[in-house]
Amino acid sequence: MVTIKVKDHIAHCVSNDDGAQLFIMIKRIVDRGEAVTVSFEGIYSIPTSFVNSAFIELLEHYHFDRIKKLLLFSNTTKQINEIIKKRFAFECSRHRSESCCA
Amino acid sequence: MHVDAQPKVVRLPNSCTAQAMCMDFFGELLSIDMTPLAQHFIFDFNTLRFIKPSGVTALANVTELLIKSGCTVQYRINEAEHYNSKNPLCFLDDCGFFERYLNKKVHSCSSCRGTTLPLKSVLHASYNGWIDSEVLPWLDGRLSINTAVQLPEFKVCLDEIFNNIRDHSGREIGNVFMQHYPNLNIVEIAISDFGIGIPHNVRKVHDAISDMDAITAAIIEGFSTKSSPRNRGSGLDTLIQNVAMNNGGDVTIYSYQGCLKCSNELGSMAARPSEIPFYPGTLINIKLRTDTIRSLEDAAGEDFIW
Repeated sequence: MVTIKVKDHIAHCVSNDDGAQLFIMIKRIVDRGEAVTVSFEGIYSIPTSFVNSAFIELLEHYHFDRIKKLLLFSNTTKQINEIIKKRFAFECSRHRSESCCA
Repeated sequence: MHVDAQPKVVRLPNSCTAQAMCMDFFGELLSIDMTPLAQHFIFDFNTLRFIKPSGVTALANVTELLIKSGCTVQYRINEAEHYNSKNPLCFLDDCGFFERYLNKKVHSCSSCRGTTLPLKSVLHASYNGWIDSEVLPWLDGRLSINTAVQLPEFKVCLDEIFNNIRDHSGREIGNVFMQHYPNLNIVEIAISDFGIGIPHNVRKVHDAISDMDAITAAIIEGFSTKSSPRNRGSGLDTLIQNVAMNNGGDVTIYSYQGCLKCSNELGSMAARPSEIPFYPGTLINIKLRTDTIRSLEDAAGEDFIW
């Protein structure tokens, strides 16, 4: 299990570009078949652009079941939890016809 | 189209809000395709009796738009009046409005009020620094809280709007003004750009849709004009959910000839669209309730479970 403490790598969690930096780090680990915990210690809220580029982009590469198994989060807040789950739920329902998600 | 060669005097609305300015003020300045109707404008501030945050931001926005279009803009103000904090002209002076556009204060004694964050043009590149060094400390002080932790909707709103401006407006800059109303338990935020607007963007994928219907379409989760491959059409939906449903506040969006107000009515999100004569660009006005602040204990982290 690898832990990425977001604040150690990214100055701000706001834009698509910020999210894309985290995506690269996560994908590198998941590509090896390892699980990764993303720690949001010191971060209290994140917008959709960041979530889309950091996490939702993974759906282009992996089935949602695999993402749920290998991608974990720690030190989150209610807002962070809700936006991640809401975005995945919506994107999975959108792509269900393409059977990307369970 | 007739363009006045003579200076055109345009009176500010008595009650200066974005809504009131849409009714006739902007139509005196610009045609619907954003062409200035004169080369030289004089804004008459002597009619001004009251101004809201949306009015401050809209006034700044249109001043900059006209100047950028090659026009000259003068302000007609009564400088002989003594400073009076209840005078809207003095309020604008305290906001830094005249210092910004006339390079001087009207009253030398004017200074920023604690209840307001000075009017600012925020470049996307300087957004994070502005949030961390000016905005959050200001609201922390006003509300005696840790805003980032206890009122997370506040920062998320600003993040969503500035991402939206950068991704969709064709502009890298937004004018922002904020005011705290302690007696009403509200923080009002008005952000405007004079970019291509929501209706124009929506019509890239939906022909022949009215401005009002275009804004209504734009707030639906998943609606995207794909102005960049990474856009997934969730920013405005998240903004409105955060403000209306999570916080109990409201969001009003003005863009060209459409206006949409979203609020929480009896636990459901109510979106009320209306046609307006004209807003040059896009303005988003947010009223956030400050009586929904979480205690530090309630705001503590919770475990993530898929």
